[in-house]
Amino acid sequence: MTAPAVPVGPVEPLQPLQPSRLPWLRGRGGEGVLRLNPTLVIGLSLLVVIVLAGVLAPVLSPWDPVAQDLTASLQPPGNGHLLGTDQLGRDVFTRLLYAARVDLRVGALAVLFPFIIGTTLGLLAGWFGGWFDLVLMRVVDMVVAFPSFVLIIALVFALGQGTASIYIAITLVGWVAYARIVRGEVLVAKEQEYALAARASGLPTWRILLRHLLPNVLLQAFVFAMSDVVLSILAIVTLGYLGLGVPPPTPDWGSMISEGQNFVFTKWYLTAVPGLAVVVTGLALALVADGVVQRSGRR
Amino acid sequence: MRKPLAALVTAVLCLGGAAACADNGSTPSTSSSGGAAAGGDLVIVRPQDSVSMDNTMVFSNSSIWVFQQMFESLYEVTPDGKDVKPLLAESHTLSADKLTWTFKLKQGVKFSNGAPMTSADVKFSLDKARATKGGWEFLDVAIKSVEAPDDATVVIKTKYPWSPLLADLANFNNAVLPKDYAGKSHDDFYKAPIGTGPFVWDHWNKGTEIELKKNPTYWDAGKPALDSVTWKVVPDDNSRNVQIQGGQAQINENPPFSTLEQLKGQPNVKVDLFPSTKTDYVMMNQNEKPYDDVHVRRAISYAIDREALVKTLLFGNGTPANSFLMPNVPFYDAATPGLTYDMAKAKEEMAKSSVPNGFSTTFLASSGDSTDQALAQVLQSSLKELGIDMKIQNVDPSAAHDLQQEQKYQISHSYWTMDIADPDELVTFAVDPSAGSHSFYTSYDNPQVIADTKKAQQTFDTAGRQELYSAIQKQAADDAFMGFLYYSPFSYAYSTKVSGFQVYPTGNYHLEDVTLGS
Repeated sequence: MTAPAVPVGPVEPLQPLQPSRLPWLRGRGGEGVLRLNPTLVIGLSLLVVIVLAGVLAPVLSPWDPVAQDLTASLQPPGNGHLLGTDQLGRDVFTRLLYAARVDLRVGALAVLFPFIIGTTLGLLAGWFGGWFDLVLMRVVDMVVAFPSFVLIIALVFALGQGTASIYIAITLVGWVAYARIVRGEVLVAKEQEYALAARASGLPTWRILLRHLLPNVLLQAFVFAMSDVVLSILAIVTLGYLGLGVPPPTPDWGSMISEGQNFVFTKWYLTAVPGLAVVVTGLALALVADGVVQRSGRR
Repeated sequence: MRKPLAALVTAVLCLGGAAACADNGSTPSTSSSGGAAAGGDLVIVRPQDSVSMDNTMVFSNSSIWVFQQMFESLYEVTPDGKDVKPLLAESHTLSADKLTWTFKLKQGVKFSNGAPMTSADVKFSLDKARATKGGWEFLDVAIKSVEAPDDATVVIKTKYPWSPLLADLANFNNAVLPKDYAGKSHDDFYKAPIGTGPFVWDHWNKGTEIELKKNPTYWDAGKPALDSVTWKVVPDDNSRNVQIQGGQAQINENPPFSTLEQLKGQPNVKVDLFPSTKTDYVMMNQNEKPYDDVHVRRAISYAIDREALVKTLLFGNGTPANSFLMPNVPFYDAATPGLTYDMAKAKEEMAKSSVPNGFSTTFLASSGDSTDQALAQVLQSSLKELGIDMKIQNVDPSAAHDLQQEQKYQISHSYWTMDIADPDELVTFAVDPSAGSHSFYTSYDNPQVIADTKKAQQTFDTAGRQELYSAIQKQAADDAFMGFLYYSPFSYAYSTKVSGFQVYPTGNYHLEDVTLGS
């Protein structure tokens, strides 16, 4: 599955959108290789909006997300504050935007390490088998036996609050899923003709693994990674809510929910809006993952 | 294991708004023949559970306020929190040399197991209370001996003249327990304690609830009115408020100030702010550099905008603190020049300090404690202006408490509420490094202040004591051994069915006076 690079063509005049095919994303050979489905389109659009909101935060809002104004505590929406201010007089809308930066960045990075580690180990285990495979899969079983959320929270608790702890905890727990998926794919792929041919032709093992097998087994891991970002964002938000997440004053959605909790009856939006942000982000990523699967024709 | 699970399920159902729990303890007992005369099961909801029933060792208010319903002392604090009156004692005389105190005991008082209370019980209890280590024994250090010449008389000899004795005897650690723990071991006794108080032990599902039942043979005839009292642990602030509104509980212990506005608007809910002795502090551990430097401590204390804290954290329900003592304790000096918010002075002090360019430090905060979280962030932002890079470390509340007591912290937040009607309790706890508390876990050590503290303990005339306590407060403020933050009242929200509920400035309440209407 080598996806061709998207050609950056000349900008054509806008044409009415066709339901399942965007002409300017035509792949090589004239076939609709990059066929987009509604799920993918909606997911990607949402994701782009959220990412842009985070990236453009300094442009979208004149406020500093951590600057306190104790004289303007808990102001209602209005007066330059789109969503009012929190208990410490900080602009809630600004914090919401900057929180998107933090949560998306940490969420995506937190998936990167388990993706690399899990894929590598799964690839090796699937290819070589033997005692390495046996030991690795027992370790995987052990980690899987624990509820992952509880394990992540316990690990962060033990490691101490901070972004580094979040990365470590999610990596320690998250790699097993990738190892399992990739191993399974390799077990199937290595018996297929192209793999047997590569072996018969005497290519070095590293070359077979990297150039022939890896591209063919990566899709499943990649699709899983998309939904895994949702889980890791949820984990970060949960940790933030418990006071174990990204250290203050850096805003993140979890700590915003937690800080607004005391005012849920009088200022409901302090918790509801960051909560909604989490839901929409999760939805966007889940739709993207679903869309990719649909498009690849595999399930 | 089964009971806590069942309770949890019930709690979850109640949270879900199931009507099934509406008649679970919410309606007063039907046996009462109308009116608010007698009966009823009171439910108090609170954020945290008790720690232990050991009245000689425990410092947690959530434990103290429970066992005070079972244990009684020779004296008790008056409702204004500034004096004591006899409870299990009837009267006392003091010898001319001020070293021998003779007490006559109240007659006809029985323990809840039926045994009469005698001087032997008092001697046993006081001897136990002053023999603890790391508990409340510091209140009893002056006691040389306790004697019981006859059943109704107790003689206490002190090593030196000791003016706070009556106030000390009123403290719960000196409560009267049955001699030899009524034949049980220390540990077994405190699992099902026995006292002379208006309520008796029923059960404790740790982490869930403690229930006490009415003492039918209580010596003060006609009391208590209630059949039982249950303290339920409901960690979420909003859930507690909802339970009061829904009638599943009658008293909400210390709802956050942030929710009072909303509670006041509810029908059938009364919100009271009782004058208290609660004072909040920023603790600075002098074992950790650079907090041994008075200029650093002063700079931090100057950098705290107390007015703004009162406004944002307490929603105006409090006043900035100028002394480590509080207005509702005798010998508080309103003229104590406590440091107030002044960034220019803070910067001056920083410049004079050993770390003129600032330093990095870690604030120990309790996770889930909204006051701690907000305070830490305000402090973080203020200290940044002084070049101090403050990180916030969140740990579980009980772990945070332990870390403070073991002095494994740099800067943190704590508070104090008085338990007796004499400043000596807090003064000894806060400024005497040899008192077991290592000067409120800060290791503050000023020989002049310590000498004045000891002298004040042995001074009997009011003017003399006032002079000494004023000097102590002034010096402690100047040394900025803690950042005094603010004085705040005890907030309680309760059902309008509850009457006779009053919280003393010392935090305790007398549930034998409470009645539950229909």
